[in-house]
Amino acid sequence: MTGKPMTGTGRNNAPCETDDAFLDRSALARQVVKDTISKVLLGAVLILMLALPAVISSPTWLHIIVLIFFYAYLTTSWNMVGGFAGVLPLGHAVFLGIGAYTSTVLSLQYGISPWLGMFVGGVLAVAAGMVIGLPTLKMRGAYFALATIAFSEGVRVMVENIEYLGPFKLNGPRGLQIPPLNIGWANFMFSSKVPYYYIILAMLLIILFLTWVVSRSKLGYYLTAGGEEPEAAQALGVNVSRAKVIAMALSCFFTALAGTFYAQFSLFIHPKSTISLDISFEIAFIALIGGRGSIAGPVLGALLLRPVSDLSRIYFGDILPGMHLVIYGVVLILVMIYQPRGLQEPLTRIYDRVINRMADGFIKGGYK
Amino acid sequence: MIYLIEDTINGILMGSIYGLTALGLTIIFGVLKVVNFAHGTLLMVSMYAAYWTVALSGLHPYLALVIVVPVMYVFGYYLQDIVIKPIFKAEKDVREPSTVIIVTTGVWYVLDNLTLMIFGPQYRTLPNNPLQGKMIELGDMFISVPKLWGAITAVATAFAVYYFFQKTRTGRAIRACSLDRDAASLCGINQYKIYNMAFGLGTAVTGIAAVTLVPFYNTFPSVGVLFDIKGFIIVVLGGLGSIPGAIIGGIIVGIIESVGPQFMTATWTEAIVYGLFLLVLFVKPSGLFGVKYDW
Repeated sequence: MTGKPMTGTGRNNAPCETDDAFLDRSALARQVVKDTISKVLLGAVLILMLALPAVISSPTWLHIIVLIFFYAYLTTSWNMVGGFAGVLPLGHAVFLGIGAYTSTVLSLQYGISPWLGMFVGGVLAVAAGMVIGLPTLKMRGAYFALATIAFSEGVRVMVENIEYLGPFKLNGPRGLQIPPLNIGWANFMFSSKVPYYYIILAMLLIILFLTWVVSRSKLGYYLTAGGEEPEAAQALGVNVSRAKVIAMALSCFFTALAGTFYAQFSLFIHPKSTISLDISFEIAFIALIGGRGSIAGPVLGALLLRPVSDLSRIYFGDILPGMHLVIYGVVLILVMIYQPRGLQEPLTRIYDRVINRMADGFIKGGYK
Repeated sequence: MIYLIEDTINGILMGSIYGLTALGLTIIFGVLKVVNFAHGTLLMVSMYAAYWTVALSGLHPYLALVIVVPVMYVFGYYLQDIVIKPIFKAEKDVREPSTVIIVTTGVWYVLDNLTLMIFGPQYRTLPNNPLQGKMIELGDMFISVPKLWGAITAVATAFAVYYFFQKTRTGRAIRACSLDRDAASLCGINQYKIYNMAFGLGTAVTGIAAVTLVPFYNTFPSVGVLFDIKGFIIVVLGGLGSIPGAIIGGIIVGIIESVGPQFMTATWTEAIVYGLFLLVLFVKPSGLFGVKYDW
């Protein structure tokens, strides 16, 4: 296992590392076995996910799991620009807010289904992302981070001060409440948490697939190249800024879709809960701890961190407020010092080792 | 009209204090080329240090300087030495390591929430504060005494820091490091020690800011966040790394905040400040007084 692919997905050690032309047959067989094991495991995880609501009846736990998926989804969208493009956006909650407000205003005032409003919000978020991204994506390091923070905070302050934006009622700091009247799939509103679970699961799978496609496309390579060595990439004729802008647009669009989900899931949005710096930072933290620029990183990060946040809030919220944030901070510092590529790296290594062990077992068993 | 003048004066005074809070940020950026996201948190820690010094000893609030400044210098020195240095060593070749931004954000979250856990969320004001609500009457205008002292301290500190960087041997070594790390190391400057000192200096200046703030401002665990974002705005306005830029950027923000409410709702001024920040970033990213870097 010397030639590990750089993407760090851990799932796809496809037989592409044919540095020696005389690939020996047993190695090939072993690779096939390993691929099969990976696929079987992936399938098993998928089936488990689909069957999960049947096993878990407690709405609290289902709520926590929905939030894990929600953050995994958000972080995966963030990762398109924050991970692959190598910049550090710290104001992604503004796109979440744009998505949430757009679909909610459209459905409350004009009766348009949130399913449609979702995509309108996505387009608006892309427009907002271009306003902030086009002038700042070229800048290095901290400037982009600061600009995104200022943009997000500025929009939050504006929304807090605006009662009516033209014909649209935003209701200022009091926010918008969605009355749970028309329950059903057409209105993206359900009385149980199970449909929300399946929707966010589907959204997560779609975005993961999309990230996988992007990471294997020309755009993905351009982004990685531009993120690691901008000068070298440009010298080779890669249009780094254009790749970054495309990644930003994708990221904004998908973050806004999650905004609609959030609005329909909580049925109440206000500026401080949607366009909040806390959410922006939490997304970035999850991505960085999980491993930015990898496909598995955001999901792993959300799986590891979200339960810490929810459980410590449930059990220690009264005695020790803010404890989960202390844990986040400490973990973040330690990960950045000892595992700068995130926790996905050691976990991928363990996963590879387990798969190898299993493949060995299978091959030996087969020859007997 | 008289209100406008009064607001402008108050804006300048408060703005200089904002500038003082941002001065440490600009010092640290100037040398380490890193935006310290934990800066507001360091201010919060300094404010708690100042608050407890005064509350426990009963000293005059400004005498807390004698304790707070050295304590914060040591705090900053070792924070950099223990937490941030390992990353600098790991990312030696990178001009502006973004990992450091992330780590300082981690420091921010840890310290803010530890303070929340230890001291609780309540707002604290100094007991038996001799400066409480003290005003100078100037015709029909009222000028707050603690703010006036704060502004004077701000300008004096800025000059002192400037003098230190220009004239002393250590100051020259720090400037050499900020210009070119490798060349400075070749000349026998221990760059990591310089970074520790610069970080400690930035934190100590933040300690001065905290001592001037405590007599008229509440101390609470998330106070840093207010000054954090304001600090970023100020240093970008004035130019990252520029010492006069920090004070003047602070005064601009202070005037907008105190004169703005004459013409609009107070909360809108905040939006204007963010807008101005983005405008400067788009048009002239090096700020009013900044050195042109290659962003």
